[in-house]
Amino acid sequence: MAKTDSLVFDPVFDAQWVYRQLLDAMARPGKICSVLKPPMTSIALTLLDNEVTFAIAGRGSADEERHIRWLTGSSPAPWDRADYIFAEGALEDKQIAEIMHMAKRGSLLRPDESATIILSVEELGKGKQPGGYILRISGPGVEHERFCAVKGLSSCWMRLREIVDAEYPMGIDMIITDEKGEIIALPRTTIIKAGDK
Amino acid sequence: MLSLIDERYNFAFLDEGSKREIRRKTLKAVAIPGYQVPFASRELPIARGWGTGGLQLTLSLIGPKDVLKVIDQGSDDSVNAVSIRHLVENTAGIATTEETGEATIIQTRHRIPEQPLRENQILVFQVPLPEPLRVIEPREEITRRQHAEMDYSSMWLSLYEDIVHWGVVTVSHSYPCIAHGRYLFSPSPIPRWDIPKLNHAECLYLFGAGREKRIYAIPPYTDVLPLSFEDYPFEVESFVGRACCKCGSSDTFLNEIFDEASGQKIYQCSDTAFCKKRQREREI
Repeated sequence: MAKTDSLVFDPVFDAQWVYRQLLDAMARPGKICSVLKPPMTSIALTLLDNEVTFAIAGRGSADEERHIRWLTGSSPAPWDRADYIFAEGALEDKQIAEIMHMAKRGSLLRPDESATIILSVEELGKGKQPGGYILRISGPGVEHERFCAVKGLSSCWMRLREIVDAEYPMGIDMIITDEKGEIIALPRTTIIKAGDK
Repeated sequence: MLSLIDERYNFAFLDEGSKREIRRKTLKAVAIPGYQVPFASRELPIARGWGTGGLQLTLSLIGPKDVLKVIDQGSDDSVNAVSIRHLVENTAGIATTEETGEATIIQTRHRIPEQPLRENQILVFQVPLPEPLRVIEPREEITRRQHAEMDYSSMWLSLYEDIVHWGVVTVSHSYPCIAHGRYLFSPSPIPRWDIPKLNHAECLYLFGAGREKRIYAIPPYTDVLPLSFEDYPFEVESFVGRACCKCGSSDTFLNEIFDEASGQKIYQCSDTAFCKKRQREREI
């Protein structure tokens, strides 16, 4: 994961800008928006504080965890209690399965009490350009269909996402970030068809 | 511009912790169209029930580059709209406008502008009663369960009773709608005229109820269908044969008013900005 100590972040104006990008991305699944680099840190600084919990999976996660905790005041929590889960897009299938199985999906009474998973991948690209895993996106927020190419994302995330989000309104919302600071969001209502390698 | 800000306050009045909570809840609201997400609803310098839900959404959204428009029943000049606009100007120093097309964020009470909203615009509704089932069921515990079970039979029955009693559905505003085939939601007290604008819109709609502490949303390109029966389809208000006395429009939502001099019934556009634009275009 990216180094987190290089970011200069204005808690008022940068947080506002990052939030608007997140909101636009969440309202228009698959639309590429951008946040400040490194994305994990700027998203954490925008959304996290002592009222919510988080978890991190991937290389160097113990250091990252300490850093996010120090920056935001948010507490780390196990997979099944974390409000925000930060993970690498290219984890092993076994670990992805564990996270997706454990992460909060909310309840029928409170579907909003569910986890948001923030994945970091190598690169996000518009349209159908080759060299990545292609997401064909439809659902609320998408007029017809959107295509997004993702490099460095295990298809296991998308496969399990379909199962986890099957019982709408319960489900998990996802944000995918890349190294350039670009993001897309995949809320639980988003339908992803046939991903080609 | 920035020098006009009252610097005793944080940018956009709310403290950052409050904004973060509203932002987190708003993102969940967008992910679950029509579902009412509970939020903390902070104290503001205006009383609850006067647009504090919408105002909190606006304050958590705006940045230095935004242009804000505030309307009350379609008008930019009524007391509620003016005081909310002033509060935002004084604490955020951002630009405001009356032109619908120039605004990036529009906070509204009870209307959707006549001019279609675009992708880069967000419409923020002030919502007095977010729970559409509340008129039938007073207990939150029960209505929450009804939403969980998608049990909307009581609402259907209420509309049916209306038809049996009056021959028509008499709901004039806050017409109950279904979002994304799942949640029954209140579109806030907008007239039926505005309901079709919610379906597959280009812009994002956010709803804030400050007193009732709820946030919900309708993302762009989302199915929004008013409840209706096959033999009693949903209908908007009819203004056949009537036109605005100021701009001559016959395709807008009209207010019925009385001419003080003649005592005659006359009609006028409810959306004042749209009416002024039409007057300019038609050189009236």
